[in-house]
Amino acid sequence: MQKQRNKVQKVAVEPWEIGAELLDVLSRGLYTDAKDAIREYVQNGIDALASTIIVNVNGPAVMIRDDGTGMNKDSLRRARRFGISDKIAKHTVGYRGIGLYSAFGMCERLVIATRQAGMSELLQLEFDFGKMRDILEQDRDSEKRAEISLTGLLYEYTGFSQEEYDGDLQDHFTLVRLEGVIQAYRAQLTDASSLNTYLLNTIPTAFPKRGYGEIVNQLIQQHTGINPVDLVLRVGNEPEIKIDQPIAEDVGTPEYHILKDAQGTPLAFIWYCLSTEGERVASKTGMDEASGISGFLLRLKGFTLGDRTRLKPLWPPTGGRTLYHHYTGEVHILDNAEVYPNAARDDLEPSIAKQFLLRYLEDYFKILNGRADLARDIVKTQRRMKGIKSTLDELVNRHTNDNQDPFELYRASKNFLDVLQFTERDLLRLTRSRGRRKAVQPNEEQLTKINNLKSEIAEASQQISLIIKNTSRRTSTTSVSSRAASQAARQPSTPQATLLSEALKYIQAMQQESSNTSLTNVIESLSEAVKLQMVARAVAILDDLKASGISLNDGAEASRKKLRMLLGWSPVAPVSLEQALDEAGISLATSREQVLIRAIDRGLLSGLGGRGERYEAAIRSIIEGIVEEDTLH
Amino acid sequence: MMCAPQQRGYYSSDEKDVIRQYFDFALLQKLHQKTGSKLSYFGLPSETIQDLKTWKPILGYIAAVERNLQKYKKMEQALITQFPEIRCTVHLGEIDRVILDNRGTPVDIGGQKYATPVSDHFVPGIPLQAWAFDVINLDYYGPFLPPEIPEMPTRPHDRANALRKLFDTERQDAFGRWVLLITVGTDLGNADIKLLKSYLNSAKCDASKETCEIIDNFLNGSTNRVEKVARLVHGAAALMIATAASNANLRVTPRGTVLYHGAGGHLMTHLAYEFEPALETISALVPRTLVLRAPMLKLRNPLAAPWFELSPTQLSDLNTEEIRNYLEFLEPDYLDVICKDS
Repeated sequence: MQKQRNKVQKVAVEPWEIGAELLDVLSRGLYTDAKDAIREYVQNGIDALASTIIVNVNGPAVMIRDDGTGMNKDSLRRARRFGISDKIAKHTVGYRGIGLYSAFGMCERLVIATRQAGMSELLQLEFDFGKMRDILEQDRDSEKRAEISLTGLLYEYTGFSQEEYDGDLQDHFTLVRLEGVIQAYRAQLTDASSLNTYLLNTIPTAFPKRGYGEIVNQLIQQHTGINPVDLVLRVGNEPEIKIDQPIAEDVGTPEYHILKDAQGTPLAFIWYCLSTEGERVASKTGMDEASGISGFLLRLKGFTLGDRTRLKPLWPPTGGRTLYHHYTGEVHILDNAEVYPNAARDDLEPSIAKQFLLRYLEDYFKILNGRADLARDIVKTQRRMKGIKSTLDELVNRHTNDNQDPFELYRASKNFLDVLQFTERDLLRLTRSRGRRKAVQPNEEQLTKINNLKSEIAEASQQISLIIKNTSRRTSTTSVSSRAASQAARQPSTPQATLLSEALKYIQAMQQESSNTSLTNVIESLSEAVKLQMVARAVAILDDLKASGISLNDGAEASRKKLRMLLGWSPVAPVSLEQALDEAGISLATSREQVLIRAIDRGLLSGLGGRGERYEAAIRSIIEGIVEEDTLH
Repeated sequence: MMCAPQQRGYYSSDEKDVIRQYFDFALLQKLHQKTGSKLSYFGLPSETIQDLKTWKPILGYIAAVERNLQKYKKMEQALITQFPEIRCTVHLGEIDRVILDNRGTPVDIGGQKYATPVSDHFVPGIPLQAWAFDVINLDYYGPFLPPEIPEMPTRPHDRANALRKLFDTERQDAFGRWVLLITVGTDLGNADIKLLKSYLNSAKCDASKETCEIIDNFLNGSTNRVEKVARLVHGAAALMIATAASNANLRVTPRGTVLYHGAGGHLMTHLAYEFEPALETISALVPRTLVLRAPMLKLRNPLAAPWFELSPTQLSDLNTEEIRNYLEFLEPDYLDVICKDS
């Protein structure tokens, strides 16, 4: 037998079937903070194309006045609807039709006064929220429920009225007045500072026309079509607050990016400014992460979703830390992204589109992170350059001062050149990939900074090379007298190089004299060591040569000893006391004197254990003593 | 020729509009130029807020007082909707009590009683916790000295005390000049006239001979009833202001007294005074009982203020440009020129 299938019938839904508890559940469930209700009414003003909105909190009375288009009788009548809205989700933020009831649990009465330009009257819609709540509570406590319908409750406790308007005929506005705000909610509104921060972070207010403010206002207007409102906050008798977006002082020029999907559809407009200090933006203001200025805000139709910590989890970590707060910026979601805010307005509604958007955003944050890392390195290099410049200035001053010790100046200059080379090398590595870090694409500003640093380093290197060249002449075996100037120019630039060249010359002479082919390899290796000024290597080669049984000639042996001693010495130490005297312009008149000086030199060498610094200090002391004695006599 | 203003409320008249627009506004504009900032207002603008609408361009803060609850609510809404750029507060209650108590009667706002202090407000450029209004507009509408009626919350001595407190607080908190505008009813009954005479006579016992002569002139100067009442009102107001200002060590400059027909044909007197802190300290040194004798000049000035009768006939004869020229170039004594000296 064939079973007869039950036919499903549609049954009309009567108004009494939708209970008034729905109003209480939705409004109280969604809006737990009085500030959320204020935001809803401000949002309505923005949807009505207001340019200025005033929020006035005066004890138990709160007024929100916008200069939007206002409403006529019909639109005010429709505004009372619950859960129905004429607003289109793509064009406005509020579209659920419950925002008007956000203050349901917070105040006794809600009055909406409105007019459009040209109307002769002022229209009013009043809600007796207090009575509505009482009715619902009584019903809950009663033994037999009264089955209060939503439509019945709204009909009974709302009312329309109109009166003649005696102001300017062209005035247009909407005034929302909350009367008898319950004490617990009043406390949330009486702190002007926290209300200011809340509105600042949720409402699309304009940036002040200073710093990057004007450019960002233009960029937002250009790419999102949002006209930010002027929002004025008046709480009690406290000073009036014009709610402007805060401006960070320690950031560079604003940049922007249009985030697109794989098909090239624009999903979001991102603007950002990077810290110029290589650290957290406005770190000295002491603001916390959520309310502060650093990081990114997620905005939809200009309204903020969540606070500045909302996008932080998408940011890649760098060495266990995050550079998220090195930026200040905003992510404006565009209509094409097809995402919608949740009712609490602190995030997007879950959807595939949301996942895609956040994935693309995460990828772009990696690029921004690389730039922040680069910026931090650039700042470090800039700071290092400051030190470098002051050292360079000091060395230049010492160089121009004839009384300066050429040995010390030479050594300091040489060390400084090393520092410059290290810095240059670090600078070149900044944009390259390092370890797990990918190569960074610097922005124009960063490129300019890097190029500037390179030029500065090149200039400093040029200056210091000149100083080294001049100083090495002074420290070379010949004096800086005009007679020896031409000779000095031909000589290698450093004492080490001189010794090395001499050693090579003696070995080459030995080869010519003995025609020993085994010396060819030695000369080759030694030539390389001379070229690279590798004293230790040269000493090792000569030691090996001597150890292999080949007797060195006097010159080569002397060079080997000198080079060995040089290894333990300062690289600028003179080779002997005799030469040091010669450099100081003190000539030895007799052979007896020469013998005496050589004996002292040998004594010094053995006594001081061949240590360069002490040896150098000893001979400097001797030379100074001689000069002093000469002056006295 | 002068045209009647287009928008007029219940409390207004053509003459009142002229005073508001050409006399008072000119005076306030001068003050605005002198102070260099927008003016703070305290007073009785009435529910039609015509004064405020006229002076809106130069006002920066409004503290209004209204005694009727319904009108209070209407005024509060009108101010925030029509003056969004100006910060406004409305206080419920009798003006004298509001001044004396520094707050109005708490208003029931959705079941919660609430009143905000008058002085604890913010005026741009002026520190908090101050009473420093630039314009004080006391549009009493009724008699200058309210009669003793048991059910009325205000008494004659309240008015004197309120003025004294007003001057004291202004003296303490205001750094520069300020203007006081007073409008009182002048078609009074015998009881009101008696009260005024009594007040003027009582002041003579503490006054110098010269002052007594001036007071006598107010008491007996005219046989015409209208003019007689006007002189009594003018004299009582000037005397009270002079006394209070003297106590507070304020220098008073009268800016004219105008007799005019208000709404419903009621005869009204409008007085304007400008105050600034006096440099001389004599009133601070002399005991209060002697104050009337000591700063004699201060007392004589308000008493000898010129007055000007503005009637519909004269109104039609006045040339707007002419008035403007006078106001523009003949400051500070511009009113003397167009007013008949009493």
